[in-house]
Amino acid sequence: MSASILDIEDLHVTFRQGGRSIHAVRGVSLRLQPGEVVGVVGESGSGKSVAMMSVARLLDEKQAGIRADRLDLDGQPVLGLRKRQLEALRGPTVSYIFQDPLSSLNPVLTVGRQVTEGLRRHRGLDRAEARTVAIDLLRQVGIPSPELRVNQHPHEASGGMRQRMMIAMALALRPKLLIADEPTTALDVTVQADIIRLVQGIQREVGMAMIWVTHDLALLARVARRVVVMYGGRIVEDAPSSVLYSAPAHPYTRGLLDSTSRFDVPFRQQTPIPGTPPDPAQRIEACAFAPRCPRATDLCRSRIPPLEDRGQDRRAACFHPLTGGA
Amino acid sequence: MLRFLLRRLFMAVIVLLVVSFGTFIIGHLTGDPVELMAPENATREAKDELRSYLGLDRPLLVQYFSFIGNALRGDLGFSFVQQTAVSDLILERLPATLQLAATGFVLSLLIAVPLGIFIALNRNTVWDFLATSVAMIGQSAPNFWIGLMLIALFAVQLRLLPVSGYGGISYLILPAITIALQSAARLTRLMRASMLEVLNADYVRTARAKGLRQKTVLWVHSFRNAMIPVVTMAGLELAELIGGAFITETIFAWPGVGRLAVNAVYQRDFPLLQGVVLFAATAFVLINFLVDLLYVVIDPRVKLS
Repeated sequence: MSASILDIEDLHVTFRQGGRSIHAVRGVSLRLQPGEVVGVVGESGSGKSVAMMSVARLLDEKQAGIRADRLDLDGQPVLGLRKRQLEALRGPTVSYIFQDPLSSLNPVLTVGRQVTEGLRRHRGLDRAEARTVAIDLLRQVGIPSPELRVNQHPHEASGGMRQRMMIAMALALRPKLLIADEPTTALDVTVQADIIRLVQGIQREVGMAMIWVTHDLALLARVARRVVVMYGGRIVEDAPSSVLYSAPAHPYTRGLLDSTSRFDVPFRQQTPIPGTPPDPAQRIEACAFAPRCPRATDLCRSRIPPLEDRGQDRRAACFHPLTGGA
Repeated sequence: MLRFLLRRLFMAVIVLLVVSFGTFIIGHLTGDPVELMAPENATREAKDELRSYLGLDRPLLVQYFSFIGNALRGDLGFSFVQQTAVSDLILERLPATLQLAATGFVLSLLIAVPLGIFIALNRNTVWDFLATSVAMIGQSAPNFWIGLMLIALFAVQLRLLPVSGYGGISYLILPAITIALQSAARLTRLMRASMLEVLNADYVRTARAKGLRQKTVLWVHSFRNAMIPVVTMAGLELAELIGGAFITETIFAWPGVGRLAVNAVYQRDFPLLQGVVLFAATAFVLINFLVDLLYVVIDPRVKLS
């Protein structure tokens, strides 16, 4: 087996908030090969973003406690790194595109500066070189008249343009792993498709590994070969998208698919999942989905189902899966 | 940019007109200055003559507009009590006030900005708790109490500094500290809150995600944004100080504009009072205007509004 670009084993993230503990991630294991594109899907509060932020240790560690049996990024144990070593990984090895491009760009610095800061830091470019590269990068992501845009500030651009700037910034160093955290959620529907195509195109061209984090299963069907479904801070199903969409094993995945808006089914017949997601402040020693699950038994309510192989390259954490044995 | 400036200028003029009219009316409602100026045994005719000599028998609005017209030419009227031009009195007191205001203000910034940043970076530590508590006390303790405590300690007990008065640097220290402490208490708390907010901002996370050095994240990406609300508040503090630190100047017998105003009130010297208030308002408006200009430099978004 070739060296993984990302290797996470049993990741836990707990936030301490005024004496309370919020268990955001409760044991996530995930491995990514170089060049692999994976989608991570889940409702808000499922721990998907927090788990992905932990990869580059972007969480405020005064509040967040991260522990894992393994958290290796390109072969380096992220949790054991010192500040300087960590900084060297952020950018060249792992890069991020965040949800809201307006709040994620610094309002007081020019676009050109923000796009090339990483290059200047990691590759030692000088101001003039950086400007040329910035114009180039902005052109690559489809921003018109980039030589004007480099000197502008983020507020002077539209939402779609800002997200393109974020993309240019994230891709400036050609990272080995790109993590896009809900990159289109804050955008107008009309520009979402453009942005997705743009990122997809660059990913193929560069051949980097990529994680799409989203709550939109329909989006993942188009971009990811493999989909990881998270619920209550754990992975409940991890399967090739062809398998997952046609025959989900976990009842939660089924529920997600059923509640996705479809044009071929009348709105009234679409079935949302009953109940609410689990309270992250509570410890759960059972299947987190059991209270909402039609197939739940006493077993589900007394033990945590392990994430097990179910054939067809699929893993699922369920005592009573819909397919794949048992 | 030009439109922004013109609009601010227009607003400034409106503010000054409102303030001047307000002080003018209130000044006239508080009593008849002729009764104060004229000797007790003056005849009714003599008083009327004095009143018409001073122009106080004219309709209020006429008096007001002549006051404004003169003010525009730099003539703020004539002090009944001191028998001197108001503008001269203010100009004479201005250096002392500016000296105190500038020293106190700079001192306050030197305390508040680094301390606010430091405790924001070390939030929920002993340092944060200590500094925040002291700032809270400093903010709620009245100025005169702080001033008196400083005098009691440094002038009376330790005999290091003069009790009050105006002279060399030794006279400046205690009043400047009095002013700085209260102002710094406010600014430190604001600086801390502002810095904390910025440190949690998405763009700071972006900066960290790029692998930038911690000091770049702090000084380039956070500091400038965190200063935006602090600049506003600091501007107001400075404007207030230049308008006259009434209480501090009175405690330390500091011959500044603030004490001039206090005396004008006692002596019902309302041309002087009007002049001082108008001067303070002008300083306020002017400083705010400068703060607005500074905004344009710090925050590129402002140009559009």
